[in-house]
Amino acid sequence: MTRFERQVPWQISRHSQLHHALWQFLATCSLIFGAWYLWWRWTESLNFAALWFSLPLVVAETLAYIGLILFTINIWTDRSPQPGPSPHSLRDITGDPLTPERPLVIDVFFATYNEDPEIVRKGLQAAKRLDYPHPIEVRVHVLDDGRRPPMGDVAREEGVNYITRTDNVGYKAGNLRNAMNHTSGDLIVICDADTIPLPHLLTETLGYFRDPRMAWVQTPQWFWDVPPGVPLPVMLARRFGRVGGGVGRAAEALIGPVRLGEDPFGNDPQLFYDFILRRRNWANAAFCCGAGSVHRREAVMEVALRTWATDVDVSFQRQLDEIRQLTGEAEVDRRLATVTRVSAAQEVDFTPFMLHVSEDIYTSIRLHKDRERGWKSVQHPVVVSRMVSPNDLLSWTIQRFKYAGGTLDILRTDNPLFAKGMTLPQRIMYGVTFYSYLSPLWNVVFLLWPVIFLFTGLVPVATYSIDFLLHIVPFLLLNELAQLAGFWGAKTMSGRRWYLAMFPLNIQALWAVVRKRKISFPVTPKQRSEGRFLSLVKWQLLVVGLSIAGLIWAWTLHLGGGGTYSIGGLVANTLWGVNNILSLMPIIFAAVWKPDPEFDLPIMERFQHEVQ
Amino acid sequence: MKFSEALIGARSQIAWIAALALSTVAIIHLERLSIGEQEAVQRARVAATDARLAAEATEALGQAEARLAASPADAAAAASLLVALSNAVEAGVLDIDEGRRRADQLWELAGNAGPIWRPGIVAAALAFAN
Repeated sequence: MTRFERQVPWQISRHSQLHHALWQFLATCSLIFGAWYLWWRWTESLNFAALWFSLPLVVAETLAYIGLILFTINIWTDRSPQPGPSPHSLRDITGDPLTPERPLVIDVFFATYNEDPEIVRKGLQAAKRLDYPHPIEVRVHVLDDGRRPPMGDVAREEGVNYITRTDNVGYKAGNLRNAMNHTSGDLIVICDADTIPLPHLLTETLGYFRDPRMAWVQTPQWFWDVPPGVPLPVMLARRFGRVGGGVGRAAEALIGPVRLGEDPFGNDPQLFYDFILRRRNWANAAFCCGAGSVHRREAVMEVALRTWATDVDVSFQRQLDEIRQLTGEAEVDRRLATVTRVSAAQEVDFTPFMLHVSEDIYTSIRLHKDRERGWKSVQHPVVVSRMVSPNDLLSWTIQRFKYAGGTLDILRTDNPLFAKGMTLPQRIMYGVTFYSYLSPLWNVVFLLWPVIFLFTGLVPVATYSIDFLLHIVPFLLLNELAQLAGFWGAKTMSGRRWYLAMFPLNIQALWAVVRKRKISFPVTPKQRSEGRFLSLVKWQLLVVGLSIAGLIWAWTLHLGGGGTYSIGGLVANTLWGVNNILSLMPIIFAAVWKPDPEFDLPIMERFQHEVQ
Repeated sequence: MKFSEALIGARSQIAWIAALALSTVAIIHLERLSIGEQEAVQRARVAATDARLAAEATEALGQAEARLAASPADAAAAASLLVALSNAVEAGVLDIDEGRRRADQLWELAGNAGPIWRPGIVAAALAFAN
């Protein structure tokens, strides 16, 4: 049985020092060979006879290589701060001997808008059962932006606090801000409507707060309803009877269990939390992802106050300039200046969490930029909550568009990479995130160039000779081997395929941000939408269709004695095209995917059954 | 995590690496076949040319010997034979040792040679260098 069938989280990757050394050795070799390859590409292999075709490819390769360098730095080491013993009292987390030695007060926030109140109830019940080895006060709050009486009823029935407001300003961030105004806990646990905290959430995470500069601890978001797919022998037996089943079992004996349709939306977040985010700990650059995070109230409020004061000052100076321009006087009257300052203070929003579609990463940037206080963050490896994944392509698209658009919007409006405050490693880590969302710019080239070659015979390199292979193959092989070692224990191919397949969505987000369109805050649906979503994958379908047609065209022409293809070029582009097709197929499959009633539905609906 | 579980997780990537390695080998093999074909054509062309040259070299050698036999004191005839011997060795129709032995017999005539002999001497030096 796979872990998806057993509904257990992934095992944390713990690589030995030797293993790490191997990864770092291979990664370095890969980067050196990559540099050598690119040098050769720029200096010796440009096809000047078709420069319009040759140049974009080498530019795309160079941009992708820069991404590889950044990514290598990201996952270079898993050095992380270790949590101390669970703190007894408030004094243990402030480091101040004058702080009263009273039990910690924890606020657990459940932000909700339109989700089923019964889903939220499961989380509330779980929050009331949180373990802790010392006396502690846990206050559970429902933050209902939907102002729904049934939600209020559930809160009352569960004996938890119900907080709502009269508007929806700032959506989730505004909802959290409102809750912070009505609460006073020392630490805050943020949960989404579908988050079910596990009993050990506090015992696993609070030890980090013994460091008085620890601002927040992010924990992995484990989706426990990921469809496990149908075992190969079962699928073959359904189609071909006992013979098929036998063939399936034989195949599994050879290569291990195969599940068709496993994790159809590439939702399994192990690669992100256990590798990408956790390996930013050494740089103090793990950002907050919202649900499943624990925050120090003091840090959030203090940074918000500083930001507010700065913004008020900027607004005040602007208004003073306007008054000077209007009156023509060099000095503004003292009383008028005081009134202007008050006006500026009223004009600027005070907000602990940035009112933005990506409020979590934005707030993280604000905290990391506060060099004076030196706030820290950490990605804790152990899963301490579970939640529901978007199990249809529409919900998935909404969620990913928000991620991409929100992140790129921060890059455009408040680029932290060149702002004051962050350390160089922090800038690089945030740079990795921003840079990854620019990838469709070069991925489009990688998807279309083999198609153009197959239809026209145009070559983007001077020659597809052994010289070409001599330069590119060592780089590709070393890169693959490095990733195999670096991500040992995780499935990386799925993530890579989805990364490539998301190109239309990321281009759309990029285009919206370039045109300064506001990225909206739609809530990611928690209920699965039935249906076929082929319109969402029309660009992927087009590329797959063109690639297949190109392959048929080129090989027919070549085998018939026509065309100007070299055999090396034809084979290389065939492999390239096939790789592109394989990368785009999962998202096309996801558009028409239906859960298997025997294997997928019981896992996906277990949550609903529990609710009922 | 057990090694076998990690291995199963890395299956797709291992398959990708294997595909990359195998296709590289295939391309190199196919390219070599292609290069081999080109070389075979080239060799055939050279062989055809060689046969024609060999025939001409044999014929030229016979004519030069006949001319020297007719006029043993003719320095130009001796020089012509020296060049013909050199060509015959180069074209592979005469063993190099045999060519050198017969060339040695002609050096006596070189005493009253002049510019007529110079090209022959150079050609012989090149042909019998090894």
